[in-house]
Amino acid sequence: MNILVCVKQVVDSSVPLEFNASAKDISLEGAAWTVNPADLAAVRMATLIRDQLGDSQVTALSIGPPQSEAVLRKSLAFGADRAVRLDADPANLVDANAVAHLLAALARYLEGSLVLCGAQAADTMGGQTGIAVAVSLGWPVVPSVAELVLVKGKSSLVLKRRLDGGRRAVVEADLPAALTCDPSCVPPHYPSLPLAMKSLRAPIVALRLADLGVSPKVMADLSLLRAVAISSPKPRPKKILAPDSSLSAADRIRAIMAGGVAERQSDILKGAVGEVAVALVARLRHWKAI
Amino acid sequence: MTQESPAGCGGIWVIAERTDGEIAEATFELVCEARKMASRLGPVSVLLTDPAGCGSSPKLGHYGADRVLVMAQGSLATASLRSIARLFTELIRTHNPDLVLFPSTSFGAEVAAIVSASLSLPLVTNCVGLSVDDEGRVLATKPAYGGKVCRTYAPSRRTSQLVTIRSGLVRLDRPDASRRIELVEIACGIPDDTAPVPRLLEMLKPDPFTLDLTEAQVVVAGGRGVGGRENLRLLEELANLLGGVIGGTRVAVDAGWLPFSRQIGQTGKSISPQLYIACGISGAVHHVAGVQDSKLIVAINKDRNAPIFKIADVGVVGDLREVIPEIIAEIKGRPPGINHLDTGRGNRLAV
Repeated sequence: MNILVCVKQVVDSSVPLEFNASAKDISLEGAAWTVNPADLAAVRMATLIRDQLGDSQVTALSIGPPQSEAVLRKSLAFGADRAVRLDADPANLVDANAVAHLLAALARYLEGSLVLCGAQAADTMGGQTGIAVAVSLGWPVVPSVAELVLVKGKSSLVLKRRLDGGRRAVVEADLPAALTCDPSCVPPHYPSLPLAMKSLRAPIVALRLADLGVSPKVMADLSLLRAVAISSPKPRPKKILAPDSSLSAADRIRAIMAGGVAERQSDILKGAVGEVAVALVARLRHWKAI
Repeated sequence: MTQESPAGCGGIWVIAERTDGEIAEATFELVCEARKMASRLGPVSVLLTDPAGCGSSPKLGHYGADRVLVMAQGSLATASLRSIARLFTELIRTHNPDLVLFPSTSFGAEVAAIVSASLSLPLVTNCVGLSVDDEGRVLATKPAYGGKVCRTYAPSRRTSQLVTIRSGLVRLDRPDASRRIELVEIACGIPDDTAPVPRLLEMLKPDPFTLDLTEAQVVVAGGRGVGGRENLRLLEELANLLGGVIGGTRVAVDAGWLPFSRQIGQTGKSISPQLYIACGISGAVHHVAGVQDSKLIVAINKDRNAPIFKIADVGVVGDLREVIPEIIAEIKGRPPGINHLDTGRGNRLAV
């Protein structure tokens, strides 16, 4: 069975970013590039599924210019069996639906039965592409996978997925299917040295749009969004109180940097323990907190 | 109630968050956001998935909705997410609203992505700002690059636009009780769907000891006043009852009662749960700065002068080893006055 993992090369946001001259996007000069963390977790999840299935291989895919081969080599170091790059200009990859169309075309071309990607890219922070790929392929999708529970042969997967408010749901998806993975879906792990060495010289297949039968016109039709401006996030003003002078200098600076604290209602309940508990719970129920 | 095909050329649609009956606060927030652009884009219609929510629909009108769209037959309450998404896809394809707002929740985000992919419509997720330019295009601003910058997107051409918005970002305007809302029934039913969908096997409640602090809606935290690891089980029981998580101040973590991943405050995590219960925590600013965005803060402390009470919405002056068992008993519905723990000091609070 062919397991495909979509891996994206993103700008490393832990390195200081600058706006470009036209202030429409960040400056890519001197930007550090890295593999999207959620995608790397997806690679490892894919290898876990492969190892349980047997008779399967994991193919890492990436769409981008030649420099994006770095993330494919990283994927090989983390256990992918082979790597494929689809050559494309990142400027044409702004719209998630356009990207998903290409990934779906790749999935059909490579005859995949399971497609994994990271739940969200660290740069665009969209979270839609994986679901769009599933729609394009007509496959069920399990978004935000938090844990692999069981591989039921080649027919289905049982997974734990993340919902709102900390809840999780255990779901079963028949194959073929698409999964999007949270970065924490596998425990952290170093690549094995032999695999890392092998990845440095591994061949990477390079494909073009024409190989997949995708026309530039289709891509243009699907590119419905443009980034038109970039700005700094609006800071939320905070009232800063004078820090407690009994704290050390370091703690006082931390207190200033953390901002002030607003005072609240501070209703103190009085009475015997039992009565206070009743009053408190009634208050919480009234506020719909419980 | 009128039976008609909602003749929408333009307009703003709000997709209500999926709940059991009551309309979620997130839906009201989306209505308020939609109202701001109604003068440029047209009337605000809310798409309710559960007709049981119809009872509260006048309230939607007070916050700025003009119409509520409900399914004529059947409820979507038991429908799969994919079926609901297919229904919305058909409705949006037919009626072409200018802008559709989805809540950025596990339901809304997935439905939005499905609709966007099915109809090839532009979708901008997790918007923090929306505006309409001179040409009537909606400009959507969202965080990017790990949240360090905000990027604004515009559509390349005139189509329906989809956005998702996280709850808690939009402040609710003052409701206007005189605004009337129109209830419109939608004739079309849920389209037949033979495509396979994932099957739900089990729903898991949050696990207090393993759930990430930043995800939890309820956090019960302990400080110096907890006294020792053995008293943590009281907090654990309370957290279990409320579906919440355990956290601690630096004191609790340094003393080894909790791992560092549970530390709340400047050197630990900043959290903003719906309910934060501070037990035996004095309220020094380096801890409190980490929880000040919580919706509701409850404080339990023996010392009536503890700074925590100034930033709490409601406080109890008392020993947590007496107070917490009473709270637990009250939540469970047992008669008050039954104390699990004999502290040897009786049940009276010194106030």
